[in-house]
Amino acid sequence: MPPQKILYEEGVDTSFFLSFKDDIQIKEAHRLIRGNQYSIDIPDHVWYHVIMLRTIDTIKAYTPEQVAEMLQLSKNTVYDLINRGEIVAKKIGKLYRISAPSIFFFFTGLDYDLHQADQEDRKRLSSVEEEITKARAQL
Amino acid sequence: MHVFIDSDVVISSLLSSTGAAYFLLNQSQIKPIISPVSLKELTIVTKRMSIASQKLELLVKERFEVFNITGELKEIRQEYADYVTDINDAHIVVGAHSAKVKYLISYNLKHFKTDNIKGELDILLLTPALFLQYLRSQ
Repeated sequence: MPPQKILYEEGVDTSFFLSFKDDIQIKEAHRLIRGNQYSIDIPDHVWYHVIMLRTIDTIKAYTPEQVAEMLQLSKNTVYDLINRGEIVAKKIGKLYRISAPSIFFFFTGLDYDLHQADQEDRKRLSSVEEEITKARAQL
Repeated sequence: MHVFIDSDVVISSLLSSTGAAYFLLNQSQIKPIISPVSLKELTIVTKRMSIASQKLELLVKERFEVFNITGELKEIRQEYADYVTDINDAHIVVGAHSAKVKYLISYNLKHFKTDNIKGELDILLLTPALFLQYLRSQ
């Protein structure tokens, strides 16, 4: 299957993709400038995570069944992960509910708070890199 | 644990106290390292970005070890050219290699040839957040 394409307006922060562990493949992804837009080819395995992250609403809670489907695991495995503490869930009566930050790591390789902290730095990163490049050129 | 820190991480930590760079540099279990060349460029960048020079001085004094690298900058840039996509970044790899660290922390992964650095120098290149995640797993 050919890689998926995402079309971005120039200036939109694409650093989001670099938060993936296997970003080497993203770095190799083809970038095509078209006027003020560019497209990036996203490998299938990364596209899957993109879709999953778009699906996740961070203020929503999920059932173990929904999480099993998202992570492509069996329902029993999800309950095992809850029992071992690897997925943090809240028991309400006899039912479990799982908050989105609890499963964030599975899609990004980062815990939710670390992803947020990473994004905080990336807001200013382009200007930081620009100044460092200039400084290095004059060393 | 000694880790070499690229200048983008140092500057990011000075710009935000809620970012991953700030959290990383405040981890007591790591000893961050920079080189005198890094310090020189950090001084230039802080001035250009209107960051108070005292903030950088205090951070370096309290947290960092400044590890000297030998050789002329022009020569070491040539020597380590195979590890970077922009030769002007080579002194970062030189610093990490000279200081014999296992980890180099940078936001600018695309300017480094991570496979060569890992394969030939045995140094792992990570972003601050990924390194923090690694520390949590220890």
